[in-house]
Parts: sequence; C-alpha cells; structure tokens
Amino acid sequence: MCLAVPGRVISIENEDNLMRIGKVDFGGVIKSVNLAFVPGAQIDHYVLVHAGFAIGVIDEEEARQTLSYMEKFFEADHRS
Amino acid sequence: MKYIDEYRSPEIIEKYISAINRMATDKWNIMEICGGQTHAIFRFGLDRLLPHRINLLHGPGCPVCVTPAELVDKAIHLSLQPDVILCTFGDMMRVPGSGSDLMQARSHGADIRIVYSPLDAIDIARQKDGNSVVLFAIGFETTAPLIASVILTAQKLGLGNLSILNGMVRIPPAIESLLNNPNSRIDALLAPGHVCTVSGYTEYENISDEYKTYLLQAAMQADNTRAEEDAEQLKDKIALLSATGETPEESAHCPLCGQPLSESDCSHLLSSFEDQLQAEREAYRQRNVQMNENQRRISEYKATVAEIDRELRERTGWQRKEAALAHVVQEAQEAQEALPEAQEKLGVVQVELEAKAYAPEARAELLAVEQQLSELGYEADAHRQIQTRLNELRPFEVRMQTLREARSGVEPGRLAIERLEQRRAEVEVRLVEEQEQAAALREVVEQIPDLERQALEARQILERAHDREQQANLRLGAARNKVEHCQDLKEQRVRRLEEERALREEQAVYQELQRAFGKNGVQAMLIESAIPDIEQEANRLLARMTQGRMHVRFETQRDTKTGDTVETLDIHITDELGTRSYETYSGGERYRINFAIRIALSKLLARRAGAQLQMLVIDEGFGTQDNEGRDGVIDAINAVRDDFACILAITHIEELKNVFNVRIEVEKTGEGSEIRVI
Repeated sequence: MCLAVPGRVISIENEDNLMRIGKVDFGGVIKSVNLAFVPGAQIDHYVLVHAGFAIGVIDEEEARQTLSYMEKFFEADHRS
Repeated sequence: MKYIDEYRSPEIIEKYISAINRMATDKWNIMEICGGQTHAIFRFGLDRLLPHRINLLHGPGCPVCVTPAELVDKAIHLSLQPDVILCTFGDMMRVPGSGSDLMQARSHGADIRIVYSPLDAIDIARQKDGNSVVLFAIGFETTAPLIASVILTAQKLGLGNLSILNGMVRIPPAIESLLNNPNSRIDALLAPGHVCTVSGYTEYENISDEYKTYLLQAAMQADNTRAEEDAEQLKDKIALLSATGETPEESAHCPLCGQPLSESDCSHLLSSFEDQLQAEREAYRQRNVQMNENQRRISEYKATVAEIDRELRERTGWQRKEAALAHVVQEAQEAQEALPEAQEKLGVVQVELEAKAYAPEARAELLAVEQQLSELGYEADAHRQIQTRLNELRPFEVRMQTLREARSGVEPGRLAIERLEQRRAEVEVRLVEEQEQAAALREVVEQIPDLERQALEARQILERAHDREQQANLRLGAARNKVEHCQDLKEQRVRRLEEERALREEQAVYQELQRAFGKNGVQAMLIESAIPDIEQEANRLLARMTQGRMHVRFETQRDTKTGDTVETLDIHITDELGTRSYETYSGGERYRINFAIRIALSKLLARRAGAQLQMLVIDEGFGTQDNEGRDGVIDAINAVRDDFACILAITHIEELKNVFNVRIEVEKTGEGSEIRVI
C-alpha cells in the first residue's frame, strides 16, 4: 500500500483547492488522481502517485542531475 | 517511460553491479526502510545481482506489518457494530488481531469495504448517510496528508457520519530504535524515498550525522586501546635497552645476529623508540580531544533534540490555543461588522412603534373586535362565574355518559346470562356423561399397563417375525436366483448337447475327409476296397492252377515295433509247407502266382472301367515252367476259359502246340514270315 507510482498528467478537470482532480497516464493505464498536494503540477508533468493522490512532482532537473551523477561515478570508477 | 527507463537500463545496471563488485571488499549490512524498496528489490531480483558481501536487511517500512494487534482488534470491534461501515486498505484484511482478522469479521456479517484511495471513504459516507462510516487509517508520512485531506474534505462537505480510526505511524523513531539496539549490525540505511517526498530529508541527515559520530567514536576508542598496548611494548623495549648489565649476557643483544649491542647502537635505538612513543602519545591525545569533541556534539545534539521536542510539544499547545483564539477573534470581528447594521434596524423599528405606523390592517381588526364586544354587553365577571360552574359540573357529564352506556349494556347482559345459564346446564349434563365415560376409561386405563406389556411382547414377536420374514425373503430371493440360474444352465445344457451332436457328425465327416485328404488317403481307400476282390479272384485262379495247394493273402497294414500300424502292401503266400515270402518260391510257382494275380487285377480293372474283359493274350511266359507246371498253366488257362470270349497264347515251345485245338502257326522263311491257321 505504501507504493507510489510515477505517471504523466494528461488533463486537469477540477481546480478546486481540496479536490484538484486530474487524469494521469501510467504507461497506458489512465486513472483519476487527486492533485491537491501538487498545485504546481501541470499537464505533461510527471507526478508520483500514492493511493489516488499525487504526492510529488518529479523534477526534471533533479532527474537529469541523478543521471549525470551516475555518469560521473562511472568515469571516476574507470580512472581508479 | 520517461524517468523510469533511464534507471532501468540493463547497461547502466550492469556497470553499477560490476563497480559494486570491485569496490565492496568488506561485508556490508544494508537495510532498506521502505516496503516499496523491498518490493522493487525482489521484483527486479536486485538481491541476486548484488555480491554476497552485500547483505540486504528488510526494514520496518510496511505500515501493515507494524500495525499492533490491539488496533486491528479495535477495527474488528467497530466493524461488528450495527450500521457501521468500516473502510480499509485491502492489505489489512488478513492482518491478524489477537483473535481473528477483518476477513473473518466480514464473514460474520460486518460491512467492510476495501478502498484504493482514502477518498473513497468520502463517497461511501455521502451515499450511506444513515450509516456511520469509519476509515481505518494506516500509513506512514506518505499516507498522512491523504488522511488529512479526507478530514478537511469531510468537514467542508459537512459530513457528520465519517470517523477515522487512527493507526498512522512515523518512520524516524523506528529507525532510531533499530540503530540504538546494541545488537544492531546495520552499516547503512536506504532512506525511504516516498516518505521523504512528503517529509523532506532533514530528519534523515540528522540521524546520519548522529549515528556516524557514534560509529567514529567506537573506532577511536579501539585505536586508543591498541595505542596503549603499543606504548607498553615500547616502554618494555626502552627498559631493556637502558639496562646496562655487568655481563654481556645481561645486556641487550641484536635480535638478528645475537651480538651484544654497542653503546652507540643502544642509544640510537633508544632515541628511535622514544620518538615512536612520543608520536603514539600525540595521536592518543589528539584522538582523546576528538572524542571529547564528539561527545560534546552528541550531548549538544541530544540537548537540541530535547529542546526541539519540547518546542514541538509547546508549539502544538500554542497552535491549539491560537486556533481557538483565532476562532473567537473571527466571531468577534463578524459581530463587530454586523453591529452598525443591526443598530440601524433597531432605530427604524423603534420609530415605527412610537408612530403606531405598524400593521394598519391588524390594528383595524382589533378596533372592530373591541366594538363588537361592547355591542354584546359582555360582562367579564359573569363569564368567569359561568365558566367556573361549567368546570364544576363537567364530571357529571362524564358520569351521565357512563350511565347511558351501562343502561344500553343491561339487556344484552341479561340475554348473555340466560345463554350462559343454558350453556351451564348443558355443560353439567355433559360433565356427568363425561364423568361416566371417565370412570369407564379409568378402568380401561388400569388395564393399559397389561395391554402395553402385551403390546410390547406382540411388537417384539412381530419384530422377530419381521426379521425372520426378511431373512426368509432374502433366502427366497437367493433361491429364486439359483433356480433361474439352474434353468438357464439347463437350457444351455440342451443347447450344448444339440451342438455336441451336430459337432460329432461334423467331426465324423471331417475325420473321413481328413483320412481321404491325408497322406495316403485316396490310395488307401482304393486299395482297401480293391484288395479283397483281387485276393478272392487270385485265390480262385490259384486254387484251380495248384489243385488248391497255394493260397495268397494281401496285407495292407502292419504293426510296428512301437505298437502303431503303418500302411503297407505285403503279399503272403501259403502252400503245404506254410506261409513264406514270394521270393522263396520257385520260378514256376512264382509264374502261377503272378498269372493268378495279374488276371485278377486285369479283371478288376476291366470291371472298374465298366467293360467286360473278353480277350486274354498270354505272350510267352511258359519257358520257366516244368512239364507239370506247364500242365498247371494249361489247366489254369482252361480254368479261366469260360471267363473270356477268346484266349490267345503265344509260345515257341513245340510241346505246347498240341494242347490247343485252334492254332495260328507263324514260321520265319527267306521270303518273310508265313502264317497258317490249323
């Protein structure tokens, strides 16, 4: 139950504070998700969804940074 | 998928695994905190990809697993209350309480709904406003805001029938409790990502700092202990070098060559050892300083943590008070805002009241009523007196009514009494009758035990009889079966006998045929039927030729040594000397035998061919005969003369010529042969 799954926001239907609802595409499976906790999330953003709520927006910059850490790690490993 | 595929690339993962293999030289115990991480590790088989030196420990990060049994018991108890709907995540259904689980409660009729999202509980509460809906809220920091959202939404919608059974727990205290355990062997933690998405990293950085310090402290302590031992050894060595003994044996020796060390060597070594000792002492001091510093930091951390905790507790109290005050202030503000308007309204109403400018229709009606009252000459006192009197007399009205009802009831009552009297008389009569009957019945009743006993006996007899009948029926059935079976067998036997007879006939035919088509079948049959004829005819002729001296016998079967019989054709000839074989007879005798048998055979063949053998030609054949024999042949020819129309004898013997009356003489001359009929 503690699982959170990433998905892409494809529409936002209700902008009401508590009930900010949108449709999220999980690699083909589309579900209605509460977006109240991620007011900054817009269409095409990737969000992390737990039990029907988006609990975070996946930061593209952060993801890219993590990937670059990987690259650096390998370079360093290669040199040593 | 974006942000996922990059992390799941097999190339990158292989690179990582080989790097980890190279770098991880020691054993590592790494605990992942989150159930989601455990799930991912097993789903992608990461535990099998990693080297054995890396030992993954599965942490407490499953809210379902850490939920205490008492809380499950509470949930079960609530779910079994009337008109209660319990909403829970599916994972909780099979989690055991102290006695049973939610699955069992549901089978006992509890209304338990499995929800995917806690918001589903809101929908259920709205649809079932007659029920009390309880959301069993289980989860870590990740789930906490969801439950908060449910509470806020319910408040906004004014839902009065939704409650929360709170089972929310926090991760950091669990981690600290694990790390504080003296048996804990955890080298590293994988922080719970989803929890951090909600709560941030700060708490985990603090944990990392604090426990890293602890680990450092332990390592320094070990270094110091070792340094103390080293220092002791150095001191011993210095003491040894300093001891300048009286004899060479007592003074210091080189450990390599065993020679006593010279004074300069000794002082050189001594200064080197002392330098080492000094360095050790310096390092020891530095570590002590560092350890004190660490200790101070730990104390500071703890003080800070205690301070933060206290502040947190206070803050919660203050927040609660603040909320209450804010509420009061808001109410006051609203009241302040409403005040001028209300005062204005009050002024208007007061003016209206003073000017009597309110409700003109009602006031006109009032005037009219007052006028009517004065017209009626209404006296309030008289009205009151009458009213009082009326009240006094009211009980009598009630009593009058009761009396009237009673009177109307009298006549039916009397009729009822009469009917009842009549009924009583009838009943009495019947009572007497029934008493008589009862007496009679009592007598019967007295006999009942006897009858019962008899009945019991009879029943037993009946039962035994039934048993016997049943057994007899069984035997009868068995016997009937047997009889039927026997009849079947009988019919079968008749059929079989019939078949047997037919088969025997067939067998006889087949045997005949077998013999006929056997190895010597046809010949044997022919010989068997022909031999007696030949024998008879040959014996007739032979008897005539030998004056009954010789006799021939054909044998077609011979006994073997083994006792079988075989087909054969032996000719036994008997004369006055007994039976001998054909070869032992003289030429003349043999001629006579041959002659007899040939003629017999010829006659048989002729008869078989359906022709009469009419002519007999004897070509030579007299040469071997002596005179007597020749006579015999002639006798024989004469003997068969009547059987043939013509007998032609060919001979070169002069003596024989005269025997025959009719002759054809053939003579060879120079001009060819001449014939003469005499």
